[in-house]
Amino acid sequence: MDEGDLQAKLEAVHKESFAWTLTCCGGQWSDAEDVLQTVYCLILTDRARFNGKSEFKTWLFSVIRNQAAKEKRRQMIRRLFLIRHEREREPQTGIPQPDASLESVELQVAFEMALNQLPRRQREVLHLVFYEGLTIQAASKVMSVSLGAARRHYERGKSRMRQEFQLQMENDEHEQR
Amino acid sequence: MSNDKESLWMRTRMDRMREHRNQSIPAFIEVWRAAKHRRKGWDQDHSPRVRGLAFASLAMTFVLAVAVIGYWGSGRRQQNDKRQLEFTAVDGVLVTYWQAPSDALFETVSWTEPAER
Repeated sequence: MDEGDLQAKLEAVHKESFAWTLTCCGGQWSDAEDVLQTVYCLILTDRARFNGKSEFKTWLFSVIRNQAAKEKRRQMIRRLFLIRHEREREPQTGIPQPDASLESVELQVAFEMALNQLPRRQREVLHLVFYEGLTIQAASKVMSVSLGAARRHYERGKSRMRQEFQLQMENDEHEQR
Repeated sequence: MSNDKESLWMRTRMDRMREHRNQSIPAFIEVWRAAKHRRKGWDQDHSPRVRGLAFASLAMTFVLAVAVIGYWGSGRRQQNDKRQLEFTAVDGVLVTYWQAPSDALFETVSWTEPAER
């Protein structure tokens, strides 16, 4: 696959790729940008090669997931060895639209925060199924887990998501008072 | 909430999230250009090769040091064993020719007989 083809394929799934990277990075936008850049770089330098065994999107999502996990490990090690205190970063959400009503923005923020509170696997499977529209089987391939495990994460994730969302909404109401 | 309703709720929320996020996702061309720029840096950067070489030489030095210390240690051990053997031989000789002191060496006096006048 030459560079032009590669660019076209990556461009076609760029928005989905970024959203997936964001989920893998726990909602950190700067980290997501950095990870996606690294992934594109890995593909450009042939360190990550598509061999056609699966769909391009499935393969790309696996590469992103692995790179995000690597970055997370690196950050953990850095945090362990650094003496200075790193300021706790607030998960950034997308910039709200000016015409969007305050209530819907609040709902959206609460939803994203609740999603980021979920365990990694549950968050990933919910994103792949509901955001990307993949089947649970395809999601299990991206996540490198068995179909049964993916189903379990999916069911648990859904019920926990509802609880977390309600908790976030209650917290918001409490803060407003 | 039933399973279907829960799924519908999730899908609706995720759709909203997509609409919300799509406005702020960085353009592909920006990320692509940054990746290309970074690739140039990677191509010019020889540090992985240098790091590999440094690691190999460090490993070689470690192996060499272990071999030298092992050789020197075994020489010392042999020398100690030899000395120990010599001492043991001398001890053996001493044990062989050792005799218990005879009773003749002690002067005995019988207290039952009356003393001579």
